[in-house]
Amino acid sequence: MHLYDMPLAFALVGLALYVVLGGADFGAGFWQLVAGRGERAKEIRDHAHHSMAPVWEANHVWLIFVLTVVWTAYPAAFGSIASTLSIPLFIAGIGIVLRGGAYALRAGTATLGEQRRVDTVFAVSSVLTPFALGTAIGGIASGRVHVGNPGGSLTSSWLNPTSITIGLLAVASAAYMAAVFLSGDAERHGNRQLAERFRARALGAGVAAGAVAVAGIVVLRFDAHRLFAHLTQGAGLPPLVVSLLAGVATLALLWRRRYEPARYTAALAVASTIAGWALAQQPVFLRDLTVKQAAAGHDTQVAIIVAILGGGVILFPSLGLLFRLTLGGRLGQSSSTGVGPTGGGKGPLAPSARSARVTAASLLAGVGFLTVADAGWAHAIGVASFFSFLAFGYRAVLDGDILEPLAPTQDGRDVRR
Amino acid sequence: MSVIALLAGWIVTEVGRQPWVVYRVMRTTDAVTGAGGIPVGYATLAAVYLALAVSVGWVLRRLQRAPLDHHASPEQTAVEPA
Repeated sequence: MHLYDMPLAFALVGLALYVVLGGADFGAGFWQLVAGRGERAKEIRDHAHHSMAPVWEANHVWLIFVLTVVWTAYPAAFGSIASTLSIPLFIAGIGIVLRGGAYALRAGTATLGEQRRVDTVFAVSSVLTPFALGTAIGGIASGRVHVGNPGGSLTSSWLNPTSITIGLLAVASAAYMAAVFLSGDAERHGNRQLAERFRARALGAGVAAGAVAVAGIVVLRFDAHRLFAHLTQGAGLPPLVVSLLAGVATLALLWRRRYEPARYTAALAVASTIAGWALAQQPVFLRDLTVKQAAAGHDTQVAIIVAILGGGVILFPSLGLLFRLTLGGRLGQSSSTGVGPTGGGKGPLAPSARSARVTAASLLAGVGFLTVADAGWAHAIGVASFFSFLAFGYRAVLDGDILEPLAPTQDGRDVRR
Repeated sequence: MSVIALLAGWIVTEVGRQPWVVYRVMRTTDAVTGAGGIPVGYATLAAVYLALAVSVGWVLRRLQRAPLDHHASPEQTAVEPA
């Protein structure tokens, strides 16, 4: 791997995480949309809503990551993509805004009718956004984006067989991820009946997503022959096989009601398709542009790689904390009951220990960027790291000292932010 | 006041830099998208944000009336400013 490939590799990891974690969010909206009417439908919609509460919108951090990395490290490609695919990207942007708005508005609804209306806006944008993003990916994958402003047709670049198929695949796999995650969540909350209903949905959506994926291979055969050849005979084949096996394993695990491992195999199945696409398409980025040609200068590449690694040191401990709290069932309850989680300070995980770890990481990053590195931007990151060090250090001390009197509500609220 | 100062500073920076988008490197006319349809996009965006602003006002009033239990007074529409 060359230096100019590395930011793209990071961006693809970000994309895979977005498809898995963000996809689960979008999929929850899909299940709200098709929940229907009545008491049981309301239960499904509420469960989908509350399961998302702790992590909602946190997942868009990956989309922002992918965009910023690509436009910094591959400006030529980014400009062509953004102008040629402006329509689907714009639709996705509007969808994300409406989704976030509707989610927040749900807190103010007083009647069931109002709630349904808000949920509908949320659900429709949850389906529209992944579809639009999928069509944009399809435009890039089928070589319909050239270098230029715009470099390709504004309509056929995203309204074509490959784009439509990948758009549908995005919606189907989002629904599938969400159903797998939601059945696990329902089981953990002790709601067997609800878990069963999401299990049935997960099985159905899994089969549907698999069918769309297979149909997609056929579509690529006619619409994007180069990609098809590399996927079925070249470097893209191993990930494709992994994806297939993981997909089948997920269905088997769901069948046997093993929800926790199913989470990970489902994520693997979806993430592998991204890896397969990337390996099959390389070294070409756009139709007439290789990754090497698209890459920004050497210094920019080094700068962004260091920035990503530095950011990761801070981001991953934070995300780890968020997911551990979510999966431990310590978040999410509070949104339905209105009070902090019960026994906030006494869980298996001491918040102070985690804060202390982040504090140490921030201090390390701060010292590293301010002493080892010479450039101005590195110093800026160093200063930011020191601010993070202060904030988390404060948290660590606070959590350690006054666990007794303040713990339940204070703790719960702080962590939720 | 601080928000106004912030925005005013921003506007001065942006307008003062014209016709450059990156000072002495790239002109704004060279940076603008060639995709077309900008008026449509702008209008849509404006409409969405207008709707969002109205909704935020609505939800804030709702929450102000019943900050803890918003199911308590569902049909009440009169608004009493604090």
